[in-house]
Amino acid sequence: MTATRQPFTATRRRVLGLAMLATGVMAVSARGATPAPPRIVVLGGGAGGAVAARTAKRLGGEAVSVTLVEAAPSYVTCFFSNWVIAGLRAMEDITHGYAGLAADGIAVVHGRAEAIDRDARAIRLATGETIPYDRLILAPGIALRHEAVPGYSEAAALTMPHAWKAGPQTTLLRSRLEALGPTASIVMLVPPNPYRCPPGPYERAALMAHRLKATGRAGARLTILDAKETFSKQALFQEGWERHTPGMVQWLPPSVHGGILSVDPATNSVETGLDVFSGDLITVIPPQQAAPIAVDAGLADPDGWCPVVPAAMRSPMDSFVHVIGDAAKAGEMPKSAFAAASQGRVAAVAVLADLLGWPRPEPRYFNTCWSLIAPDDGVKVGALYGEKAGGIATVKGFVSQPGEPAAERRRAVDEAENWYAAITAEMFG
Amino acid sequence: MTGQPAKRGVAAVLGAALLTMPAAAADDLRIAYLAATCAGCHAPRADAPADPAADSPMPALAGRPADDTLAALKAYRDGQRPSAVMAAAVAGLDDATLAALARHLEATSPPNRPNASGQPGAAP
Amino acid sequence: MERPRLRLPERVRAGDVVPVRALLMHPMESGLRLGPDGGRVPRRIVYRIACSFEGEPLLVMDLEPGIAANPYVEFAFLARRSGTLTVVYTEDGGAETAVEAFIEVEA
Repeated sequence: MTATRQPFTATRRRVLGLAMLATGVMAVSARGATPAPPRIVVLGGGAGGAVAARTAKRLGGEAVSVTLVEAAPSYVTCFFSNWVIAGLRAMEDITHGYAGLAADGIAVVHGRAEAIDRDARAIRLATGETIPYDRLILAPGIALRHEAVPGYSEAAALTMPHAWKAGPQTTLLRSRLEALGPTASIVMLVPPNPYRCPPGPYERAALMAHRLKATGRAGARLTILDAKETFSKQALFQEGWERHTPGMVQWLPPSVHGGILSVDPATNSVETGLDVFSGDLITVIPPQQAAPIAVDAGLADPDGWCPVVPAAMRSPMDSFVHVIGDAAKAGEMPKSAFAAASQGRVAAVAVLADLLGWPRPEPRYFNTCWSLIAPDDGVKVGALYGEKAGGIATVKGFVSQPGEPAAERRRAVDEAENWYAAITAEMFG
Repeated sequence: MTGQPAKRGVAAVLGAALLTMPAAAADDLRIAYLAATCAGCHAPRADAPADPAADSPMPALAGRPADDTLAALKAYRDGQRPSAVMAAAVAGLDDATLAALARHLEATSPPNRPNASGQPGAAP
Repeated sequence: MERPRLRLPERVRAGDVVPVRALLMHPMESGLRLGPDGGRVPRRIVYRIACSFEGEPLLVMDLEPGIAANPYVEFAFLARRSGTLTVVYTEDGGAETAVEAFIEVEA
């Protein structure tokens, strides 16, 4: 199938759809002849993208070609990076390679995607090379909006680390934490909704406080300046902070701190409507939006996130593109690796059904977010989601409760570790 | 489900595509999809204990006898075995679906470990 | 105790309503909570917040164990003359910490 640079029309779409179905049939019925199978391209090798690619290849087999485009040669999971910051895991433990995908028969292209040419249905790489697709599964992740916090920037992140994309920032925050004195003060800025990993900042606060206390620095203080009046698993975290690290973690909503006005890397301080908060370590988790490649391709709403059709994570702007993971607006689902993987499976089977003429299964979106309050004290929140009134909404949910027995909390930690092994096996083989 | 193309096309493509699925999977894409959702937590680990019921919060499911899996799934769904997570995971699935899912998982074997027919299996 | 934080305008006109915001980071330990050893964590709360202007009482609040951590107070008063506003926090055991700010009132 050749992609021509003509304006996109419904008629053309229909013709191509039928042509692709025919190609799929020929690929398996005309033995000897080798017409090219339909091309599924996945952009982004995180939890959503890697799971989508492997699901598509595993269930589609030789009837489809699957290509994964990812800039980085290896992937550092953002999930469990709080464990690294607190010294419970090493960077090697959360770093994974893509060899397993290649072994599955997925073409792994390590290149930086510069743009999506939706008319030509191809991805353009920074090298100038183009990768055509019949269906694109877009899993580009988030962009950090440094400029949304006055005074903050990519350069300032070297002084005030965000560590919200795992990698060198994780290592930086870990080393800064290790260098703090026994009565150090830490200030953490937490962004407004929506953002990647809603309970992540509060788990990070708990684990940083744990690390400080465990290393003779219980006199240190961590102040969270939140952009929100309430947060995920709030009762569990607030109870846990006091139980494990009494007096070390303070949380202030905007109605108290008066709103974030600016940060100053030169003086390591944060000005709010109430006062100036200075610290020995300031960590700024900036507001976020879908990665620029999705926004530039016209797949995002004015709020910076990509809308999707709930039944298949398909973009309402382009029926040849599915958007999954943190970049997508998936209704009530949070932006988590678990959710991204769940959406990746939905997109993969929807694309297979579409390209090969199979009936499309009803999606069963699922999420669980485990958080550590201490190394042996885990909590979780999650749900089964379904299509409701044109959106993705909770069907049946669950959440840990304050005051649960220690054994149950310990078991949640075991679950989190099991899940990490499972999802990384699903992503990387 | 939407957009059903001509039935013959579906059969031809599905039949051929099943060549890449475990042999016992006479199930449709729906069951294969449901089994894939299990893998989000239940790793098909090669180092999983031989006894799949060993004390793990998320035991490996691949190769586990279908009767055991089906009984567990029904008990979770019907509230006879308490687990908020599993109750949500199987909510709304009927007996026939759970039975097909359990059979699919039985027919799947973990990587690096041969299944009953001696062939390397696919992940669930 | 931590250093309290106090915010009010530096300068107002006589007769203006002056908004006052004061925050103290404090655990407000209720005495009802169980610690990891199963025993009760001893009560330690700020039981009084007293605000005065040039030595004259403006507002006194008695706090109970039900008040959440990090007590934050917001109130307003009518400014007639320049002077220093002082907020004193007293916790169980009698320890005190204070914060003050000067406000200039233009006629």
